[in-house]
Amino acid sequence: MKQPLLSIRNLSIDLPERGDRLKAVEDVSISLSRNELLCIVGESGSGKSVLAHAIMGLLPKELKKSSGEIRLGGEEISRISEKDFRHLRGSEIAMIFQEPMTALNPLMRIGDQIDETIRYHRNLPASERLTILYDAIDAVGLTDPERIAKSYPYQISGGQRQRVMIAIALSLEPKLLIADEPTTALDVTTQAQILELLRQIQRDRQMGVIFITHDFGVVAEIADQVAVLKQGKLVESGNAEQVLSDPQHPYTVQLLNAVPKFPKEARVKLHSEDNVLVVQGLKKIYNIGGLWRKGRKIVAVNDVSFTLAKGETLSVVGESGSGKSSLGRVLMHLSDADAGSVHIGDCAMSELKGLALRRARRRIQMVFQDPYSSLNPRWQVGKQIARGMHAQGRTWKESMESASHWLERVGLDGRSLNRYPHEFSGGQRQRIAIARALSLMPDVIIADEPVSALDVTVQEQVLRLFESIQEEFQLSIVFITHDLRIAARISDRIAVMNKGQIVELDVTHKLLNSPKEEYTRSLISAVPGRDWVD
Amino acid sequence: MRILLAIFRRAMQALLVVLAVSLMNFTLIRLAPGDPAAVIAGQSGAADEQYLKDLRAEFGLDQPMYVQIAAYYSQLFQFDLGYSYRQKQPVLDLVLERLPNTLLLTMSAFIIALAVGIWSGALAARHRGKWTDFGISSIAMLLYASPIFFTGLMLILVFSVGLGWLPAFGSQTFGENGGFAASFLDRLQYLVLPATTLSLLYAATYMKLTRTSVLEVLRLDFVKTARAKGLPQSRIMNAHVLRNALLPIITVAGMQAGHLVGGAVVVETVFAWPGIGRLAFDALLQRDYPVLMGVFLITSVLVVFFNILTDIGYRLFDPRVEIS
Amino acid sequence: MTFQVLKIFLRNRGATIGLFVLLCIVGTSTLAPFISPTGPWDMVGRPFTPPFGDKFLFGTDTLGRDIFAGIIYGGRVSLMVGLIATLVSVVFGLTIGGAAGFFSGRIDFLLMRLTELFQTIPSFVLAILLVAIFEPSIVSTVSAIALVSWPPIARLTRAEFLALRNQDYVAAAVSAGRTPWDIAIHEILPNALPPIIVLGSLGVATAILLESAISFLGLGDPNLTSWGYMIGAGRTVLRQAWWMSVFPGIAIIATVLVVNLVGEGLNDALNPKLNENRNR
Repeated sequence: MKQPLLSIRNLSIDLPERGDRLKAVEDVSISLSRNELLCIVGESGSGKSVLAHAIMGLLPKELKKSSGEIRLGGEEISRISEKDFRHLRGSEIAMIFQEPMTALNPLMRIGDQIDETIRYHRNLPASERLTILYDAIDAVGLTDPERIAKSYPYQISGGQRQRVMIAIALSLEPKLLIADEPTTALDVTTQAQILELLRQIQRDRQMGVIFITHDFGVVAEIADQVAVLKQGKLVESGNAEQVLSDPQHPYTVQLLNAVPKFPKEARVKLHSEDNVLVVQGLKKIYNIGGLWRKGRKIVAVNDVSFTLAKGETLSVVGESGSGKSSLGRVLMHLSDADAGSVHIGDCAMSELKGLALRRARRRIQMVFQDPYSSLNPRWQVGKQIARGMHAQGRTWKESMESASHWLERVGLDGRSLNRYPHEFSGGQRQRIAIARALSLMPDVIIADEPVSALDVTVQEQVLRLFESIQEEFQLSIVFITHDLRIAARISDRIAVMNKGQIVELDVTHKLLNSPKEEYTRSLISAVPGRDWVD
Repeated sequence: MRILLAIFRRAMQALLVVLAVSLMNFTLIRLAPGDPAAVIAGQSGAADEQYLKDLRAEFGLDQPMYVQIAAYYSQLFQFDLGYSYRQKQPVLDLVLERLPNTLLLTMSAFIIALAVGIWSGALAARHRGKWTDFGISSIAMLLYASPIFFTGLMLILVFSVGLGWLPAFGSQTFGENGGFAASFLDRLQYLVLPATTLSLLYAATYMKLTRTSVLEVLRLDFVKTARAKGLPQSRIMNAHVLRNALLPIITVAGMQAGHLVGGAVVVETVFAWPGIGRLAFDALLQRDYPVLMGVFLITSVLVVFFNILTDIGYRLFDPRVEIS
Repeated sequence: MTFQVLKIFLRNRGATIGLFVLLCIVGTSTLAPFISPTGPWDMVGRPFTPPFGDKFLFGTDTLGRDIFAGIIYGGRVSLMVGLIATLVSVVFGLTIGGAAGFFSGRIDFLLMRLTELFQTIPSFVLAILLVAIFEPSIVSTVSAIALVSWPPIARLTRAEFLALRNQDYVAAAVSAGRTPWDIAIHEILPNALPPIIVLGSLGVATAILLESAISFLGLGDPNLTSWGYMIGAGRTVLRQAWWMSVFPGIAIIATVLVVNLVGEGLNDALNPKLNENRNR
């Protein structure tokens, strides 16, 4: 049997005293062969990132390895000196990170940043280094290597930056590449391209790749082997196909079930035919530019129209820059529309001003993306929920009692009125935000990527909460998301948005199974693990 | 091309500042308690009634306001900053005579402060939490809390009175005829104490700033990337960390220019350094307001000039900055 | 919430010691008449008495006045000026910065140009100019210091307002139909205040230093003794009576130092790291 490329045996890493548990990583054993792609899957706090950093010897000072060993090609590397490790890093093992914007030095040209690695590991003349440089840029699918090399990070796109990161990592042809959630911050179509690139490079060079992710779709898309981590412990590992089709550990089952699948037929739901939300010809234009030169106009929302019935969920799906968030804000009248109208029932929201507007606002409420900034850190949660009701005319006492009742409705303890936001987890904070929105008894809820910042298992719980409140109160929901799988899971109809316009709008299963537009098709094919999700 | 545009913007700003400051001067004379003519003549009863009458006529103090303002500004744009009745010289001449000395002092202090501050700040950040850090940070705290004039006096006490190594007053020894080198060294020994005094406070500021900035940059992702490339620590610090850490320092250094000039006033007073700060102090004692206001105006222009330099410096460092 | 803030503050040893020393200094100055029976202007001893002798802890000055008395009475002036000038500048800066950040548009533009102007002007030169023109007195000193100290507060307030206006919880408050006034007071202000409080406390240190420089130059209130004045008075006789300048100087350093320590302690306590438990 050939010796594995990387062999981790009984590795444990301690957390500093104030952590929520004793060990970041506990008794984990993993092995990786030479020509293999292993996905390490886990939610936040699973220790997957710590593990990756440990292999590279990049653990922060507070985290110490307490036992176990890490062998690279038979050599124990977890105990070698920093000086020796530096020889390995960049040339034998390489690592790429999640945020391409911050992972590159903003003040240094890209060519210099790639050249650095080559210069400090190999003693080569400049001309040879240049060849290696251009080859590396070419290998990651970037054209015009000269221009790229001369550019600064801010001058190229996110996807290009991640390719540059990969070029840096691969320039000296390392045997092992560790990728720490490299596609999480990218658009879904860009993610698909990067996944394919990594897969292809791994196969061409017969490298070992460890890919850290929280998304089982990615596992389905590219993994040979998979290892599942929970709270620092390895709960299941093995051949990817096998684990996906026949998971053994209950946690793995839970994670797999939490990934939304594409529905085959129409959802059975009772909702009336009355239109609650009518949007006509909505336009929003942003002016960028200062006093000294002509501003640039960006049309964020370009002539958008749709209707929403009572008790219906419409998802607005788009990548970054599609205008979906701007649309949300305009619907909420948080920004003024430059053209078009928004009607909620008989009320012409877009035309109201002043006191009339403030009174009418209760009819449409929003749940925001970031659970950490949607609640004011300085006030108790009960007060925050009560304030809205109080502003709409109820007495303070009534409002606080009602707040308690709404907390219960979203699955939290009604007595936690007096606790502060930082005492709750991300998922719980989203529930509080939902309670706050519900307390005003709105007709429409705009949910702007409400689950994107949550762990997959928590996502599922929050989505179920949305469904249950919709059923009980016959709410109309506009669900903004970048993830087609979530849209598939929760919506009756899907609207695909690109460059400010609605490209296609159709009943969910029809859109997913027989899309009409090119762009829709590209979005669908970019979903990781497409075949498996079906 | 872009840099030219930026300089133009700053020049406009300089003009605005000059206009605003001179307007302030104009208003202040008239707001001051007592007779504006007496204010211009310099108070302490140095003028007799006829003198004041002449002044009133010359400055048109009896005329309506708009006439006065027009006259005032036309004077200003002919580079006439007024006349010091005390010293019997035009204010502009007095200021220009002493300006080079102040520039010498402030520039030296600035360079020393930057060099010492950045070096010690980076050192403290490197050895965070250890004795080096604690020592440097504590010294910085003490210097930060000490008024400039007090630091100056203490330095005089130790190095001049106590040890007798360096002179305490003035900028050069009179009657020195030993040629260029000797004259240079002579002036240098007079410069040491005042420049050091002025620089210490700002060195402490830059030290704290550098330390914070370096610590923040060390936490950023691209430093991790650099480590993942297997680069030696020296390369990481020099090429990656410091370059990024220096950006906020350049900004702050620019903003501090105004304070530096103000500090020069105090230092020049303590060390009898013949610059415009000393001029201002003497004018203060004599209530020679035209001179004071002239100094005020010139120092404001100086500050804008420093701001322009900082702006250019920043743009050279950071390729991301656009004209906005 | 205040309880938690106090807890974090007390964890910082430097800040706690600083607070203790500061309270001592404030206490000594307030109780000056009880601690030193003689006033700072009373000629009670032989001139040029060295310190650490039998009668006079810090020695006497050129006219035989007790330096120790000077220090504790002078402390009153320095502390009071520092505090009041800072309060005035904070109120002024808050109003201007708040208006600029809240209303935006033309108001913002004008107010910011005004702030920039005041920041460009060398503040110390303006301060002494003001004190000179309006005759030295404690009122003119306080006013001058306040007038040159408000720009950083205005800048910070505006920055805070602008950043906080874009927070989701502010959007949620708008969506609930709350009035702009309600939102400004209940949502924005509580989050904007902590950094302003910190800047204000550090501003007290700056104000004390400014006051000492002004009185050092002889522009302080002629009827009141203050630390800066004492240093100035001792300057010409530095050789013979170093204690006249040294002790007031140490007093200034000590006071400014502890104010800075307390300010930094407040900073750590009021602005905890926001990325505590980022559970996904």
